Amino acid sequence: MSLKGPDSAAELETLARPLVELGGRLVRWTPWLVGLLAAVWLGSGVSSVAQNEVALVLRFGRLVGEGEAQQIRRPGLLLAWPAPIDRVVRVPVERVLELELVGLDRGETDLAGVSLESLPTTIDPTVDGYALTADRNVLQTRALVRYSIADPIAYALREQAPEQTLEALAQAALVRVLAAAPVDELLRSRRETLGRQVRERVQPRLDALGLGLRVEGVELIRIDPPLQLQRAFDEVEIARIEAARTVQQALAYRALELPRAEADARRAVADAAIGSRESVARARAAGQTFGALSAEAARAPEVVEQRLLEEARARVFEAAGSTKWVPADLENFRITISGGKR
Amino acid sequence: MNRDTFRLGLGLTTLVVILGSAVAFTVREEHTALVTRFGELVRTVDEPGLHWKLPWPVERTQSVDRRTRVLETRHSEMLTRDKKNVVLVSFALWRVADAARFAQAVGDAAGAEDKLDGLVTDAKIGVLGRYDLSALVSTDAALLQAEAVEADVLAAVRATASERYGIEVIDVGFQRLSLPADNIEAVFDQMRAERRKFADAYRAAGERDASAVRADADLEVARALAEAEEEAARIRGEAEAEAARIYAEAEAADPELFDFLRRLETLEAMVGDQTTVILQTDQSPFDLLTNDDGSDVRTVGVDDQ
Repeated sequence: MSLKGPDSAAELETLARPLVELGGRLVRWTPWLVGLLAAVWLGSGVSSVAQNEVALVLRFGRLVGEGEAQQIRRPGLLLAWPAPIDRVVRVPVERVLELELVGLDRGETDLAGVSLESLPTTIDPTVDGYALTADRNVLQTRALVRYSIADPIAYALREQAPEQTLEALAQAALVRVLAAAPVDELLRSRRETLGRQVRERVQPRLDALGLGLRVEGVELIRIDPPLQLQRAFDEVEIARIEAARTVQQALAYRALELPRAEADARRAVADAAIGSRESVARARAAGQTFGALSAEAARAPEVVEQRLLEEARARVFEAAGSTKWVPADLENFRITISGGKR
Repeated sequence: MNRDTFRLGLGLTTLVVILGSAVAFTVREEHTALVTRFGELVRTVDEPGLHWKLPWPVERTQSVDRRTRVLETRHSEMLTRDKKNVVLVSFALWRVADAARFAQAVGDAAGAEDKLDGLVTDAKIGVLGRYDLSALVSTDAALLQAEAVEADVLAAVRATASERYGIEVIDVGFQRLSLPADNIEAVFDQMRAERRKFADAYRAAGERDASAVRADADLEVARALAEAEEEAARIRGEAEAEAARIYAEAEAADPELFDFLRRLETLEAMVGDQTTVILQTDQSPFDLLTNDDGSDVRTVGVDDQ
C-alpha cells in the first residue's frame, strides 16, 4: 500500500478528531468522575447496626476499640472506612438461635412404607445414629438446642465454627445423660427433665472453653427405641393394660357379689324371723284355744267329748276316699281303715 | 485546586496503592502471618493490623488461622479392658499454638485434621484398654468415669500434638458411643427378651392380683351367708323352743284333754283319699238313717260316696 500524501493525513485527522474530542471531554470530566467514585467508595463504609445485633469493626484485620464498650458497636448508625480498610462483622444478639442434634437419630432412609418384618436386623452406627443406655439398651433421639450469643467477640473472632462446636459438645452431653440411666427410666422420664440434664452438663464445658455461647434450653423432640424393637416395647404396654383390666374385672366381680351375698344373708335371717314369729303365734293361739276348751271340758266333759268326736268323724268322712257301711248285727266287727293319705 | 495539582494527587494515590499492596499486609485477629524470605522463615507476626514487608519476590506472607476449631473423628472400633467391642466417635477442640511449626509439619487444616484424627484415635485405643465398658455405660453411677477417660485421652494427645504439630488440643469428648453392627443384633435380641419378660411379669401379676381379689370376695360371701344361716337357725330354734314350751304348758295343765286331742289328730292324719272307711250301720251318723226297729231306711245311692 502506497503512502498517500497530504490527502491521507487529512483523512486520518478527520477520523481521529471525534476521538480526540471525546478524550478531551473525558479529561475535563475526569475530576467529577473520580470525585463521584471516591464519594461512592467512602459512602460504602457507612451502614447501620440493626436492633437485634451488634457489630465489630476490623481495621486492617485488627479489632477497633479498647475494651468491650468501644469494641462492640450497638444498634444505630455505624461509620467506618470502606473495604479494604475496614471490615464490619455483624453478630446476632438478644436472639435465640436453634441447632438441631440429629447425630443420635436414625438416618434419613425413608422407612415409612417398610413393614416391620423386613427391617434390617441390625443398625450400622456409621449410617444410623443411636445411643446406649445404662443397661446396654439402644435408644434413638433427636434434640433441639436453643442458644444465644453471650460474648460476640469470642463468637466472631476466636472460633472458626462455633455452631459445630456447640453441636459436638451438646451431643456428647446427651450421650452421657442417656448412658447414666436405664431405658425404662429414660422412656418414662419427662423430656423436660432430660433436656435440663443435658443443658446442665453442656453449659459448664462451654463456659470453661470460653466459646461465648449460652444454652437457653435443650428440648428432646423424640426419644424411642429403634423401629426394630417398637413392637416388643408396645407389647409391654399392652400387657400392663391387660393386667390392669383383669384386676378391674375381679374388682367388679367383688363389687357385684358382696352386696348380693349380704342381701341374701339379710333375707335369710328375715325369713327365719318371720317364720318363727308366725309359728310362735300359731302355738300361742293353739294354746289359748286349748285353754278355753279345757275350761269348757271341766264344766261339761261328756258334751265336749261328744262334740269333738262328731267333728272328728265328719272330717274323717270328708277326707276319706270312700266309705263303706256294713250291717250292725255283724258281731265283733271292728272299724278298720285301709289305705291312707296319698 | 487546579487541574495539575489534582492530576498529581491522583497519580500519587494510584502509585501509593500499587506500591502499598506489595509492601503492606494485614493480619486478622487470631491469625498469624509467617514472613518468608526466599523460602526461609524470617519472622512471625501475631499482632493484628497493618504490617510491612519487602515486596515480592523477596518476602512472601502466609496466613495461619489460629482460631479454635472442632474435629470429629472417624468411627473407630476398639476393645475395653473387659474385652467389649465399642465404636467411638470423639470430638477434639484444638487450635494452632505454634504457627511456624504447624505450617512446617502440617501445612493446612485438612492435613491437620487427618493427623489429629490418627493421634486421638490411637490415644483412645490405648486409654480405653485400661477401663471396663461400665466406665462409660452403667446403671451404677459410682462406676461411671467418662470424665476420667476423656481426661486421660486428652493427656495422651496434648504433648505429642504440641511438640510435633504445634497444635494445642483443648478438650476431647465422646460424641457417639455405639456397638459394632454385628453386636447390635445380639443386643436387640436381648432387649426383646427383656421386654417379653416384663410383659409376662405384668400379666402374671395381674392374674395373681385378680385371683386374690376374687378369692377374697368368695370368702367374704361364704362368711356372710354362714353367719346368716347361723342366726336364722338360732331364731328358728328359739321359736321352736317357745312353741314346745307352750305345748308342754298345755299338756301339764290338762293332760287328759291333751292326749285325747292328740289321738284325734293322729286319726285324721291317717285318712286320705286312698282310704276306705268301713263302719257299722249302728254308728253315728249312720244310726240316724235306721228306724228304731233296726230296719234300714231305703238307702239308694248312699253306699258309694
